[in-house]
Amino acid sequence: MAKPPSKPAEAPKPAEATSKKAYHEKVSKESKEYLMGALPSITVGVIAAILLWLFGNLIFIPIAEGIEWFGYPLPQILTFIILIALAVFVLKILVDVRKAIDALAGLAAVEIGAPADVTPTEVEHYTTAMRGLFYIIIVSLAFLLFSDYLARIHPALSGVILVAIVVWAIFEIWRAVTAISSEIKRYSTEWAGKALK
Amino acid sequence: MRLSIKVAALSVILAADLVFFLFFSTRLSEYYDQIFQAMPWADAQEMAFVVILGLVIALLVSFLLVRILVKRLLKSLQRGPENE
Repeated sequence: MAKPPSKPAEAPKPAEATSKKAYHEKVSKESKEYLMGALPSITVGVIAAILLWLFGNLIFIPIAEGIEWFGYPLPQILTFIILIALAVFVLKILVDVRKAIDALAGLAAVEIGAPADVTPTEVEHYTTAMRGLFYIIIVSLAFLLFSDYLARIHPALSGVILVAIVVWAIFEIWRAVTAISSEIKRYSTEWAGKALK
Repeated sequence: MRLSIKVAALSVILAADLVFFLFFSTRLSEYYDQIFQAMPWADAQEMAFVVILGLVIALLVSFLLVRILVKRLLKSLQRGPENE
């Protein structure tokens, strides 16, 4: 993600304006580039994970029923292989989604914030909020892919992981709300200041 | 190798893999069993090995197919506005 440009603490006004404009353009350009780079990779990962789930659930695990390999039931061996492959795909998707969300947050800060007046703190707040929301959506979808396979290994495993996801999701929502509320607070303070002048 | 040949070759491999497991094992199970009985090793081990191999082939081939198609789509999208 774009780093804040280095600037002196008490820079003169024209220099500050130039720096802000440069930062605005940098964030906008880099965000678009990151987004274009991450989207194809996310698409490949999502389609591959769905295909793997479909092949595993509909073709290979039903065929493997009743077969044993060196004394171990084949459906469980296949479940383990599929779980590892799914974990690799989901991790890859999460890394790409992280990049895409940072880029989206940069774009949101540039588009929603005042033109040429985007601060690194504002970008950070949008990043925190968007990361939280998108992570919750992606982890929930990933859980749907994993839950069947986890239940096949042990019925309680799926439930334990679901409880952990719910607790984590509450924490993420709280972080997102805090980040957005500090932005709302900043805007309302600015508007109140202007109105009282 | 040309892109269309690559896509066609990968699609044929994926289709053959899926048809073998989906069609032979359910609709033509006698032939499916005969293939394993004709081989010299124990049937269960052969079947397990072939099923794992089939899953890995399906996974790799579908991943490559999707990757090639998405890359191609992205290239076409990037080239689109320049051509207009």
